[in-house]
Amino acid sequence: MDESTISQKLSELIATKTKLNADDIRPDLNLEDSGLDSFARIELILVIEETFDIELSDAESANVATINDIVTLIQEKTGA
Amino acid sequence: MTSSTLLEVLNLHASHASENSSIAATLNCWNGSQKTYFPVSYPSLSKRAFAFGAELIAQKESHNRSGDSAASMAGNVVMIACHSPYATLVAFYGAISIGAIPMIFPMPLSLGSHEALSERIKHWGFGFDEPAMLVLEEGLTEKFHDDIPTEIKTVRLSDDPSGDWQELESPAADHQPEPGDIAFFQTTSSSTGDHKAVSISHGNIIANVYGIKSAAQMADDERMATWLPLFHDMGLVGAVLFSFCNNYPLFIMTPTQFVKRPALWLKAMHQHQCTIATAPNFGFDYCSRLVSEKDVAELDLSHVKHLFIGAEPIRVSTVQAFLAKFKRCGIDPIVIRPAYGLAESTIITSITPHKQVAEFICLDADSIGIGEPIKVLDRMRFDNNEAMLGYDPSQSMAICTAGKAIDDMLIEIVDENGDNVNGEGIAGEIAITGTSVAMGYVAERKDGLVDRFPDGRLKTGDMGAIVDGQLYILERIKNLIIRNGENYLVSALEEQLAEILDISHEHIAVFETDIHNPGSDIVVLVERHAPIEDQDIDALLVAMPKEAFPINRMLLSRSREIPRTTSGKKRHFYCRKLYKNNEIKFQQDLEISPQRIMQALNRISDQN
Repeated sequence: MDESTISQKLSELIATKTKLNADDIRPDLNLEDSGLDSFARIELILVIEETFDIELSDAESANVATINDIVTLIQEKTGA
Repeated sequence: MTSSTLLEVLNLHASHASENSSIAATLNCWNGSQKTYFPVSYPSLSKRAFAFGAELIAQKESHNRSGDSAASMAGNVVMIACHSPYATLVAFYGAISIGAIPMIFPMPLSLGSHEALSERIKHWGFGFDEPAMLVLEEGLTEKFHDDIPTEIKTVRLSDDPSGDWQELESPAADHQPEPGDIAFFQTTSSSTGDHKAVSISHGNIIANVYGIKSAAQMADDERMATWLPLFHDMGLVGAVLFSFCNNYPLFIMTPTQFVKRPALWLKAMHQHQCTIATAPNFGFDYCSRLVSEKDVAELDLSHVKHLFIGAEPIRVSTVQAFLAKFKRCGIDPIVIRPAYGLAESTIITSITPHKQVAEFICLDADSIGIGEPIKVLDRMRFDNNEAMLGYDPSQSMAICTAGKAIDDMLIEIVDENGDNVNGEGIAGEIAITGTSVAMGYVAERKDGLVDRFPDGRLKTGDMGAIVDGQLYILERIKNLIIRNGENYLVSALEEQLAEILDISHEHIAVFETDIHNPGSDIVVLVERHAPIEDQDIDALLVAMPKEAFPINRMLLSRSREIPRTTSGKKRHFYCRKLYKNNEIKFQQDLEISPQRIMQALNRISDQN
């Protein structure tokens, strides 16, 4: 899966969580600024794990700040 | 065991290993990628902690380059910021073993950001005469490391219990604490900006963990499963220290692992024959909603004897749904045991009596007031599914029992002057005294590091009443929000909002609209003459504090609307009452949500 496909997929997942339009969610959006509380962010991590069939540790989950960070992590994990 | 300090417990575990390692209990840490628990025996854990204590001393000596003696770590604060329970506990016990004072911090996922953790480290790191040391788990970003001032000595620690760990047979420092000495500092809330912690003595820990065992009439061969965070008193004392001191095997996962897969917790109880577990209301509710029917069908929990529930208001719907779902797994209503506790009493103050089915009392909510008799309209036992299912919150307020005081603890109900309120069912503030009441709040740069509670009596800030000899928690007088079992001091939020709105915090009140409903809105009432203009709303939304939980609504009033005491202190619980009765007069009403914040972020980004 290439970078733009992963990025698009992530935007859709976040849009589902936040009820925003996926097109409004930008790759440099910082999740810490997004208004999602810590609980919602963990739920989002779970959806990402299930969607991309990967396992993220607590430290990895905490270290991702933007959608771009998540894309990089997914690529590392999946070898994409 | 009859130890009087936590160090004695560590030494006892370490020495048992050399006598008979086959009887040693274990700490079992969930490994998410390998899908298994990795066991570390308590003797081995103790010896690894002793070795890490030696490492802390060595690191301090090399940092100071002044040839400090080993004893110099006594009384030094060691801050711990680790995701993994294993690393956290090696650091925690390691600090205890050399007389240092450990203090466990929430991690960025709980705090909301790396900056929040960094800010907390900087505050406490320089809060004492000598800079505190910091233990960080390997894996945090380099950017985060770069943000830590060099004066704060940082020691890195692996999170892998299967690694090559050094062990020492005995502590690296000749330190013999007394029961009244400080053991650790417990932060009392998770929100950014508030720096409040409680000083817990060795005697407090010992009294509480043995007091729980005695009050609950537990055997010597219990086993426990937990997912609670170790920066929280319920996780650290109520699960980890409780198991460690009583030599119970403990199966532990992180809160993140639980939130991702709540069935893990129940499967731990099933597969490892755990008899004890503890969680806030939210944990039980979460399991009822998200554990699949397939998992439920495979669970046998009939051996479970104690499911403690506390740390936040207990809801009828939670108890009903949990029992309805897991009764077929063998969960009996009698094993669900409500408890009352707070960090200031080490953890547990009261629990429901052994072999007694807990119950709710249904009150006339309007009858609740300090010094007033509460009006009990009805009762619902946990084994009466029909009654719980038919409960109508519009007709009465259901309050769950919190049981009776554990050994050596006294619960009193007092009025606003602190005088005892006499009589069954009279509401007042809950005051507690006894061996589990903490030393006091941490006082930075003060001799002894503690502001002791006057006369050793703790006024809890909770309103309660005694009915039929059992405690019921009715309201919250203190300025606190509890979400998902964690406490958040709203004074810090009010300070942040004051800066954003450029007014005094005296004109801002943040409150939950219903303390008995964890999903209820959080509202900010602002007394401000000038309205917020449309063009300023985006900037306000982006600047809103987002740590821990969302603020849902901001009401702006031009008049003095926040209820206050005669001395001018804000009365948050009256805000709740006024809000419920639509009696707050306001001129502007702002909805705040992740959607609106993101849209504002995008608009600001476009303008730039």
